[in-house]
Amino acid sequence: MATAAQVLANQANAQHATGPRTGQGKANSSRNATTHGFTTGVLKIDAEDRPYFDAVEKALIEQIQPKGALEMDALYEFRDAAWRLRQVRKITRQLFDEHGEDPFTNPESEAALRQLARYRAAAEMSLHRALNTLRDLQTIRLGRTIHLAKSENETIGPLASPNVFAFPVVEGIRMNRVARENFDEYHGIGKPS
Amino acid sequence: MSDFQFGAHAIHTPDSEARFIERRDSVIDSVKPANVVEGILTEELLHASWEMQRVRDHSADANPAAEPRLNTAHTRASRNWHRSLKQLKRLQSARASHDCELYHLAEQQVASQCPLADLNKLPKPLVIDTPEVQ
Repeated sequence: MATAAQVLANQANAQHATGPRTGQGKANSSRNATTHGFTTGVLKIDAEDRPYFDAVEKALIEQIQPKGALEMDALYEFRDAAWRLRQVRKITRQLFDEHGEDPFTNPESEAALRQLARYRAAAEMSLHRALNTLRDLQTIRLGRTIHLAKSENETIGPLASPNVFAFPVVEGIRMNRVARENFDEYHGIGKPS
Repeated sequence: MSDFQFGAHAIHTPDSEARFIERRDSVIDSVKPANVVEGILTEELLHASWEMQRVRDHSADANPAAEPRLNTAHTRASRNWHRSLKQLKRLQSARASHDCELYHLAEQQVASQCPLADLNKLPKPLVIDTPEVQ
């Protein structure tokens, strides 16, 4: 048991331990309790994995060539989901290494595996959704560049579906599908002779 | 794609390691991922494929108590396998159509900046001779 003098000394010393002071220090200590990082918005990247993460991110940006904030957001969603799926596999592998038995059949791993399955399902959904969104955004961007005049690009909302670009402008009027069909029928376009 | 870590953290025993490597190489050869997005999805496909194999391996001598876990694992892996394969088909179709369907140099240049764009969702070029409106 500590003597009264030791208690006083400890209390005096504790006054000097005021925790992190700099912004970086506070940011670091805020992640002290982070285990796998699946439930936070911040990705957990182990030091040994950092070069690989950076290389994958660089390759993604070079390949996808995102333009604008929306495509960048979707790309980061895709990157984060892919990394979380990798983390789930890494932790599952650690379970296997600890117990020496496949987690699928080991009852001791059941609770951990069930929790990992939830994180994994969320990450899988996010991965595919982000890729679909990136595809849609780039399809719109390409469609606008190919099919719209500069003046139309300025007036039609940037996220408008490419399908609206299909209709020709006749005498200054953009024809909708019904008008186009009537126009074609009137002029005998597309009808067998 | 040479520095992509295919099959990292996969679960295999010394007995099954050779089978895993064979499967990994076979999946990569079947997909031939050409870039990092295809690489990430190939990785998902590979792990889903291997998980389904692990479930099959355990099914023969499984403890009845483990059956629900194996069923759940198989359902999840199967879903991810189909989703990843579907995405890969769309990605590789988009890549091929960029090469085949864009005839004009200007279109090719624009399309190279939108590598994921799906040309099937774009209107076809309007090259009809519009007669004069009477």
